[in-house]
Amino acid sequence: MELTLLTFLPVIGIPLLWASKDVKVQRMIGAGVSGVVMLLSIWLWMNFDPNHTSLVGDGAYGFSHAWISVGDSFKINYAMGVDGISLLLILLTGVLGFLAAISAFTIKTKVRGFYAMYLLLLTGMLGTFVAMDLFLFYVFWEVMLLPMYFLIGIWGGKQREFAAIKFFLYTLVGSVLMLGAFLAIYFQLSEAFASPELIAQGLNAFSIPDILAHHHLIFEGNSTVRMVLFVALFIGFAIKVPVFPFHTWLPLAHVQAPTPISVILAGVLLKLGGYGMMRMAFPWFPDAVVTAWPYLATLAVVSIIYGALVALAQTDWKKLVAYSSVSHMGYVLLGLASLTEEGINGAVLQMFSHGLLSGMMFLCVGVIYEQAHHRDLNRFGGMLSIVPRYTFVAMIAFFGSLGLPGLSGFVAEMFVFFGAFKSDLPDAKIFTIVGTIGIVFGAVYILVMIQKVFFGKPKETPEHPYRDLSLREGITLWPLAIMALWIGIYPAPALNLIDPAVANWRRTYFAEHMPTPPEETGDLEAPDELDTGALPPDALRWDGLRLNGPGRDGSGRDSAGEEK
Amino acid sequence: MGSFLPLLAQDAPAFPSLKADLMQNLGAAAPEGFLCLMVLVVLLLDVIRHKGPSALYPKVTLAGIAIAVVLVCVGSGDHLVGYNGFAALSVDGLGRLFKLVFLITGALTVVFVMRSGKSYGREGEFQVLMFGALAGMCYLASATELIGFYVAFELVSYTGYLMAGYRLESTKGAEASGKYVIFGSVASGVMLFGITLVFGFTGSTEFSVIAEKLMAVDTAEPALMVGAIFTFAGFAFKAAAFPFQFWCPDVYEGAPAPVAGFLAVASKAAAFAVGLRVLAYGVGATPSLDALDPNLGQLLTPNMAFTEQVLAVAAVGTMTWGNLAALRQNNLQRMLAYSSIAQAGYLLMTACVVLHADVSDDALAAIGFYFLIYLFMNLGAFFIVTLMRRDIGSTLVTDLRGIGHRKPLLASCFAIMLISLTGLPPTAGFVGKFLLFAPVIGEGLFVLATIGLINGAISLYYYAKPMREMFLKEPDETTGDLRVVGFDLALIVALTVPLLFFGLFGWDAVADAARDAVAVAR
Repeated sequence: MELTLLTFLPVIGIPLLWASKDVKVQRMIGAGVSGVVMLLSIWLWMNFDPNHTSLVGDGAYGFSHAWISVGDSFKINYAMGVDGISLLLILLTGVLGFLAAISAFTIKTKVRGFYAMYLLLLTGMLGTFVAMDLFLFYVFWEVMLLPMYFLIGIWGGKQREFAAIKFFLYTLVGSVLMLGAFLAIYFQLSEAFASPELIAQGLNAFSIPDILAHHHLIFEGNSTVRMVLFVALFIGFAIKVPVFPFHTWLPLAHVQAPTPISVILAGVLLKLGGYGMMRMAFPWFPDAVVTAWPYLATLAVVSIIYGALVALAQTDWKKLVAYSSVSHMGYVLLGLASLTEEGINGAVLQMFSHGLLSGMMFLCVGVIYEQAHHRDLNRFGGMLSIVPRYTFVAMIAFFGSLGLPGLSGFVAEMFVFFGAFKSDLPDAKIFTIVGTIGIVFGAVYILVMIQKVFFGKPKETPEHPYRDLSLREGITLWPLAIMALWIGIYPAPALNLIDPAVANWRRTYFAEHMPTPPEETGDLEAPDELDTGALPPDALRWDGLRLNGPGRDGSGRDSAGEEK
Repeated sequence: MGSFLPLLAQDAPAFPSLKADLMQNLGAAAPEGFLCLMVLVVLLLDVIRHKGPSALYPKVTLAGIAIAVVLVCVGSGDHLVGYNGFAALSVDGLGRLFKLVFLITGALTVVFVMRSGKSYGREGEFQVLMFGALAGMCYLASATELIGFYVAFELVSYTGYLMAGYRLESTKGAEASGKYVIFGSVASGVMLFGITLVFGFTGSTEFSVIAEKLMAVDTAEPALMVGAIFTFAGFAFKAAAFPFQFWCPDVYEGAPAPVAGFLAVASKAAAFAVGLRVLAYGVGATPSLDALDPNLGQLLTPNMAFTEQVLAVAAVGTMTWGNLAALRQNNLQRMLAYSSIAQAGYLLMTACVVLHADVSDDALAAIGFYFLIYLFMNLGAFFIVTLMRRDIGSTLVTDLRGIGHRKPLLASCFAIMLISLTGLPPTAGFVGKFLLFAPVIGEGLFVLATIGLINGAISLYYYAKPMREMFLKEPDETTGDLRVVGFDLALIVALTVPLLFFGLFGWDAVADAARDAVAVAR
């Protein structure tokens, strides 16, 4: 019930927009509805027991009702559910949804249409995170596309039409591949679920939890088909993430979209790709993930470095931020594919952190772009002295993105690299070391950009002198800055939320597929160095996660070894 | 069941009671008979009134179609009818489903013509042609033997030729009609040649006997296969399937938009109705195979596998050619023509798995369901084209520029139709595509399904073109305005609402009904 309310609240809000012809009232309604969504998502988080890791069932908010059944061929349920991972992303969606709605006050034309599309988009995103039935999931997944097409195409920049259709086509190709894989899985599993041993359990091959629980039955023993299905799903989600070489829609769409939509695109839409991998592609085909590890890691590392290098070459400020997303989402894939608890936690945390920081960066670019009407990095300069308050908050965003300790990006990236480094998968250390080069490039493009924009002397005088951060802009930026600082200094709330789900995810699906490490004697990586050196002191205080102790990780490995 | 020629009938049953048989036949063919009667009625009315208020004719037609719908609906049960033990018609759910599609399409077409704003002073003629076409189509949907089928097929063709050239003043209309006649005649001739070969080798004109001999026999008789392929060419021509699709764009572009819509939906559905019946009989004729282990490939006899391959090639060619050609079109009517070719490709894809006994009914139901949905979205789109020609005088996509800002409701409805044609949720078009693809994937035809899915994604590019013009571009002075108000707007909304509604709720009921309906009397 809570999840239904959360998902459909934005859509219910759409007719309210017709209550008044006054643009200001419409803006208030749009922001108000997304504000309520944010409050609801916070409420969900406050009342959630992170140790509850079953997706549909009692305790959490999950439920499942019969929705559609066609003869004996389809049984589709209206099923929703969350765990810590999706709840963190829902929280991110709620917060960014509200702040972007406020930042959209700068939209001058067709305000009612904008908020109608915006709220529809919000429903699509929230629905995708909570849907626990493949059909329902697919409907929500596709429902996002159309509003996004219009939001970019109507309210975007000069090349908006091309950007909109390119985004639409790219994502649609990904999603039809996904649909094909879903149907193939459905039919095969329906047969498997009808076997004498399982028929009594009343399993449903569209139900995500049921598929998760019986993922090994998907084309059991046929590793080729399993690999093909994994690749189809992976490409479907990789386009959204986006992973190199499926990223080419992103720079165009991010740059052409209006500021609030860039925030949503970078902040939430990309996370849907990562979420899809965590919920479907990876846990359904753990054997394929282990087999494909060298390719996955290569794609991740290439994304990290390539994104950073291309960002370095940009003169368009917004494009730089857009390419930084390719780079930063590469960390997510690396962390996930490493299949270590640290790496996966890092990946989820990186999704959250990237949502905050890229959202902030796009907002920051938007503030200046609105006044300067251009985004050419070579024409700015000396912002530090002109707009100090703006510079202060912008620095949090950009340094966070660079990976400065004390901000959320650092914690997430460190976890990813720890995880990847200690992974038992082949050549994990080499991939990690190469990946860390991306951090250096990341620092370079951010620092060069900061130098060009904020330091030095102004290169040209704008028509109107730059004004400092307005109250509205402050309201959109500061909450994100505070959250980025909070996660950077004390990540426990986020980690406590996701770690039980992550640990359960890893243990349930991957424990038996991990290669046996060469030696079983104790911990391979010197844990002391990690504990004292790299982590901020506060990060060690939470009690959910044991980094390198003989706990969960070691025992899982042991049991796998014994089985073999 | 005996055969057509008494000489060949080795085991002809005793001559049944003529009176009872005749009465039964009349009742079973009531919709077709009534539509034929209406042809005469309107023809007479036209002669008697000669000159008069033309608004009368559409009303007569709509009333006639309404009665025909009732006649279709009151018929129940599944039974074969004929005389002397010779089955000519099958009154069953598959036929009823398709007859409803034809009749609704016909009724909407008549309304569209009425609203197209052009009076030719020849309204009576059009209604005659419409009744003739509908009578032929309805007969096709029930036909179970070749002679009646061929007569009905030609009836549909000739009325189609004339309707396509209805816009006398336009050279494009004349070209359309001329092309349609020439290509159509050749296709008919080829098909007739195929039919004679088929009859010669099977000794029967009955679909069930032919299907049995064609499908269930392990060894192929080359001449019989040639005959079957030639006959298939006739169907493919009517359904505008690859490689017999080339006539379609010119004819659909030159014909009046409502007629193009009628041809794209009803004419296509008629070809599918017959083709599906033959396929279903083929499956029904091989009951022994049902019992086999349902491993892939084991299920089909060699001839069935060959048929599946032919259909799969036709499906892939049709959808790919239609989609790629549609990408470059700027004329909305022509674009819709190509897109309707592509849509036939998806239907052919699902027709492949009608041959698989375990999903045969699912596939038939999916195709029937899709036609019910397709009717709304495609006719709606052609109605928009009709109104464009009426109000703007041109049907270029760019003529829609900025309509979304001037007429948001109209543009939103059109956008929903286009989204539904693309097959995106939450529209009924998605559900239709979902049901079309499901049995194909369920039967393991992954390559075919993947090509279909990718094609679906490609189609977005051209379906999005009108949306881009309507919403993403600002209106300027040069673009004409659509004066769509009152009845026209209400009609468009009425065509759109089911697309949204059945995309979210209740489509399972419709799909179930379609599934119950398609069980073919074998």
